[in-house]
Amino acid sequence: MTAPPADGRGAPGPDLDAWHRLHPATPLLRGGLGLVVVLGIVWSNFRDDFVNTMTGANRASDQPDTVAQLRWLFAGPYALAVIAGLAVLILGLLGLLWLSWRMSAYRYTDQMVELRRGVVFRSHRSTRLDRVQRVDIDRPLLARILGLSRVRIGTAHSSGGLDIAYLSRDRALQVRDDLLRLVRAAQTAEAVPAYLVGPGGARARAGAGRAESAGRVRIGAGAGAGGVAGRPDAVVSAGSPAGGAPAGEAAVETSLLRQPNWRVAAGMLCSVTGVVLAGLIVLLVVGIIARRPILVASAATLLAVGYSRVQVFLARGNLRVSVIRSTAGAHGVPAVGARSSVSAVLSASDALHLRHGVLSLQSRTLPAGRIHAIEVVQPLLWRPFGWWRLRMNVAGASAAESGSAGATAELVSVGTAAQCVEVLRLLHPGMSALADPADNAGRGYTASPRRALLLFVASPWRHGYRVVEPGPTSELGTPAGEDGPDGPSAAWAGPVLALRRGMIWRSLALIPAARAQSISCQQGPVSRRLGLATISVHTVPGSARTNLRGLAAEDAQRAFAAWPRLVVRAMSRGQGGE
Amino acid sequence: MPAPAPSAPPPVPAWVGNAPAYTRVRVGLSAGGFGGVTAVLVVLGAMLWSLTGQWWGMLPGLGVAVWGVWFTVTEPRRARAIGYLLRDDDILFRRGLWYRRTVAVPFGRLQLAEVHQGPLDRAAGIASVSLVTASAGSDASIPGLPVEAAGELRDRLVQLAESRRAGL
Repeated sequence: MTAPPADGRGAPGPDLDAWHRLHPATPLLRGGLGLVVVLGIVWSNFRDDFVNTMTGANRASDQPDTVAQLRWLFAGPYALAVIAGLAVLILGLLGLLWLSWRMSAYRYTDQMVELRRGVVFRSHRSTRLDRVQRVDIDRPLLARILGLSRVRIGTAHSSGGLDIAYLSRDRALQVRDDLLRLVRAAQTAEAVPAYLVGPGGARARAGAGRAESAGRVRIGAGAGAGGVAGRPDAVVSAGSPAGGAPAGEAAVETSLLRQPNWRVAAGMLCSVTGVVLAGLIVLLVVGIIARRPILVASAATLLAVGYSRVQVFLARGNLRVSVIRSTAGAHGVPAVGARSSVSAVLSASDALHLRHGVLSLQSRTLPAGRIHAIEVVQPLLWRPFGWWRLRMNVAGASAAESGSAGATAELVSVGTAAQCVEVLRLLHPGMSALADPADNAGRGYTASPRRALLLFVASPWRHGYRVVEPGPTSELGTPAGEDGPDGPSAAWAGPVLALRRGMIWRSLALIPAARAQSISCQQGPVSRRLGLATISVHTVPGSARTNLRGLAAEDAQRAFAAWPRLVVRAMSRGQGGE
Repeated sequence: MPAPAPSAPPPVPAWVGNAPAYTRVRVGLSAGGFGGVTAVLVVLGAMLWSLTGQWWGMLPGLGVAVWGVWFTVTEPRRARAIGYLLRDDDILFRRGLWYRRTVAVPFGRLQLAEVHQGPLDRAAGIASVSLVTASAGSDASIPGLPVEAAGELRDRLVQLAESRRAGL
């Protein structure tokens, strides 16, 4: 390993195959910080004693036992040995930290990205670029204070990716842009998504003006030779995969929505946990007045519940969603006009860009094709305000992120109906009409029968499913230029399964058939007695609920017979492989 | 070679169940498990009875024994309820007597197919085949196939998945 530039600052372009070191402050963040804290505590507690030892003064001995013992350690006959031992220990730890920094390095080639780490337990991870689903940046609080960022690379399997942590902010942006371009190059057999170029890529290229950029990317050849509707025909001439700037290709980022923090907070208060919190506060007040043990219990619970809520708030606050669009039209001619309008449907080469976080920052690039399911929900208390939440199942999210508690499994945590509809319209223009979540009308839904009310005492009616087929006959209508680059992202252009449930707690889940992994049909003893059944659509993990209970058994059977065929058809139309 | 008669019906795909050995293993397991728990409970109950003269200490043991007998007797039916069916584009798995579940996994969605064999399975000469998709909910597996049938099924599934690969 040749001595790589620390942090590789200012290196122009991706240095393929070369090992790079992480930021020198990395080991400090990865656990060395604990050492600093311990040292700080020791220092603040025994400052006087240290000073006394140094100055030879020996003051009062009316200290508690432990302090006296410690003083004996540091001032007694073995003081020198103790201090020397401590010094060796600290130096050793620092040496280990330094060694761990020296031994950690990452590199990327046009095939894979690799990370090696560790002194005692050595690890060497590598991920193939053609398996990469996402390249995101986040900045945990401590890293943010030190001006550092983390680049997270994710694959479809939740533990298949790796994190390059930590890098300086600029270096992280550069690594992300390089990786995105390499990923794009590695995945050209599939499609050439311009979101992978990203505004960062455009920025990097504008400055460097690299001459080696031989790659030419043409996005969207229409419904030409074998071009499947909605699937851009990507043609990439062989060139340096890392070479940037293909002619006529750039990306434009437009702001889509901002979520005010007061609304996130208000939305949290108007929820079950909000009510619980209010109840706990009342209990606390009662406890204070009555001086009862109820006080301690409610205060402790309040702290625990409140803490978790505050954490979610800190993660979800400051949400900004923007749309990254490729401006490359057919034949490489920039077609900014209609395509750059915010409400135009996302093509396979566009992406949503989510940034959120109050203390720790996260930045995520989310192509439409990675959204495997989306659910629009409205908690009961939000109804007067007309707020909705968009949950989603996203490929390549880590297990912690995709859990139902994970704040990042939400696309919009507290949005207005208009905002949610706007996001849905980005996936498919018809989705907004279909998804008007407040709509109770039949709208072609196969509703669950009356006898299922027993199952839905809390939220009866409006349960049902329907299959939304694209095409001129559907009420969705054909999106303008579906066969061109303006068409919706391939997966969402195909048939979409819509599961609607609840009248009190309203929710609508949308799953593109091209993204469903498997379908199942279940029936328990009670359901069988009632002639009911449950149908589940399995997708990648996330917080959107993709099953529907309480269907008439024959309707569930019909769906179970038809949907797998639908999935296979959508897959074979080339919509499954983004 | 003469063409088949036009009236010949296409071969009807049939559900494939597990080996009789699997039923034996399951009956043995539940008989052994319930028997063990019952024995412990009966001993405890008998001690209580002899020490305090209270007979009702035997009731839990009796209850578990009844449940165990019923469970063991219905075990063959439960084992028979498990099966798979290969169709043109997907594979169906079904299981359950009380809680029935059927899952359809398109071949193109298959990420991984594995054959698993525990010590008891090895003794009985059976193995289970499970499918992994990108979804944790798919949960498609079939236990108790004869070892060579399990290997064949896995190979066939991988082959089918290979020919219909469709990414995520």
